[in-house]
Amino acid sequence: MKVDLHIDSKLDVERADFWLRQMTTRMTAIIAQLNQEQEALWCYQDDQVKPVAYRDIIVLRTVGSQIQITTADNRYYYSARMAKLAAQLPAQFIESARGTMINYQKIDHLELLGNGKIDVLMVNQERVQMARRKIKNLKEKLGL
Amino acid sequence: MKRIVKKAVYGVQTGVVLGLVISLIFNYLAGAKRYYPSSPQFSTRFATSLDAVLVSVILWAVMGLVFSLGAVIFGVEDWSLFKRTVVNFFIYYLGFTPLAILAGWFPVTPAYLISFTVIFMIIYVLMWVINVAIVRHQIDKINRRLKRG
Repeated sequence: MKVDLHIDSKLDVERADFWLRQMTTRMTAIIAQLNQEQEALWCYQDDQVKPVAYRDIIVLRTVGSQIQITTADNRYYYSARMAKLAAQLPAQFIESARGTMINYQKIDHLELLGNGKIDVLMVNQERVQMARRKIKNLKEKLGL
Repeated sequence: MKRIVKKAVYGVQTGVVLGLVISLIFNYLAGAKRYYPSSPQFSTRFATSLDAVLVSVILWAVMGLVFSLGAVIFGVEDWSLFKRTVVNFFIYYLGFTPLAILAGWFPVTPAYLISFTVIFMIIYVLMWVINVAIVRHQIDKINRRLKRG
């Protein structure tokens, strides 16, 4: 890979442009590191790579070998293992069950079902299961 | 794995502490002049009282282990709550009953075994109901907080 670096102390906004034949795991990790300040996750939608602001993400769910990312209006995909992605997500994301992370700021309410399971209703009406032992994490986030 | 080891250690500690506290209470209630870790008949099985205490401590530790590790079943998210409850009940009952017999808590007769089983079931159901009430209370608290924004 050819790398061009331009240092200019008078720059208003720092940016990085990547010209790639295809997205790879290595590039995803590099972009993730750069993104930590940018508050967005670079995800796939159809054949395009788009930035999805963390604040817009409602649910992240493992689907096969990918992670499905749901916002209010769209669905995106991210190629990585959930454990790896979870480590870089900001603090508003908590694990609700195995393979599922939710943005606790996008929760509408919780429901205790007749079969003893706990459903989390998100602001987009999506239902997500919450394991009982994960309730403690949510309470901590809410300051309870 | 780390979580299970932590649970196991916690279970052993809790079992020993509870066993000691409960045995002390029973000793005082019976007006004992010396310490019996269990019934006097249990202690007569051993050459020294020290051996009786050591075996009791081991049994209390294993009881704690049964209850702490048995609860891991409720973490199996693919099972229905009913299945988890039934499996958990049998783990507790089949794990705890032999230990209680070994610890000399009751004679091994059908009448005592039946009354032990009935008491065990009542306590299990009670604990289950209390647990559901706690979860419901937690959910209500969370929902009130979410509504406040």
